[in-house]
Amino acid sequence: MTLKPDDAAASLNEIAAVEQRTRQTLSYARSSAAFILWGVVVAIGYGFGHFFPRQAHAAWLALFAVGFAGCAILVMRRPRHAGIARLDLRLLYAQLVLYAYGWSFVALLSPTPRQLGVFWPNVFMLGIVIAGLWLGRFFMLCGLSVTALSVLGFFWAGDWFDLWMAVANGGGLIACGLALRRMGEHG
Amino acid sequence: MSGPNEIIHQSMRLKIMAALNVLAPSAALEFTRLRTLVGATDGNLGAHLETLAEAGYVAIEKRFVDRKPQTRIKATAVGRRAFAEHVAYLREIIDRDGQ
Repeated sequence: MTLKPDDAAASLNEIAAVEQRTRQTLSYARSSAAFILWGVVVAIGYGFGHFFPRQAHAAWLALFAVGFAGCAILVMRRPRHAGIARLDLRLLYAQLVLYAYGWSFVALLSPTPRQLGVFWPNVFMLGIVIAGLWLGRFFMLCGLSVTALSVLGFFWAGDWFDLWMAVANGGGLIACGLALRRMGEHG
Repeated sequence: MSGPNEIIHQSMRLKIMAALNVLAPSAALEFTRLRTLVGATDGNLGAHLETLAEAGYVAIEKRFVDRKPQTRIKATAVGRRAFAEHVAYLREIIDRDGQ
């Protein structure tokens, strides 16, 4: 059997399409738990901040630590059959890099608590939108939706800003995580 | 130039190997997820997996999870090598055509 160049090109295109689809499905399934974890973390953080604003800063530090520790546990506990472990570690490192850069901007610009409340989600949503360029468009949709809701809340939520963010940011991430889980299971 | 791998070249088997080849060496895909990824029916996928397993290109593991049967498939080292050689062959054809 000999193949013509057109047949070979068609086969290579077919391979590339399946590889892309497989990577996307695996990345959706792998990241769903992290989305849900961060959704719960930020929903608690903003909810706490609304009722106990003076303790909010300390609570956020503790919650960030819980979030990163939870992500590390998710990466370590992931079954080997689930996919490419090295990529998971890179995603964890990417979160740490965003966090470090976020802190440098906070130190330089000294934003108000309300600005901070929308700054941090947008820093992480930026990471998710950029990751979506490689991992799948649904990440971009999640990141842009949560960003848009956060900005809306910043301008129009008034005194309910923290509760708005608990629902829009925390709830948004949880909803995205559940959708990613479903898409990861069903391809 | 070596010839094509006639087992892998069939369209559905090519897709199956492409999907499994993306995974880490020890990783496996569930039957249902693989079925969705390659766009096959149960019977069609089962038949092609049997052909690939007979050639030693995939390993099929059947087990029970929460009392439900689960079939998991992974590419063997032989299968990954055969797939890589087939892809190299396809690229060679295109490169020769371009010269």
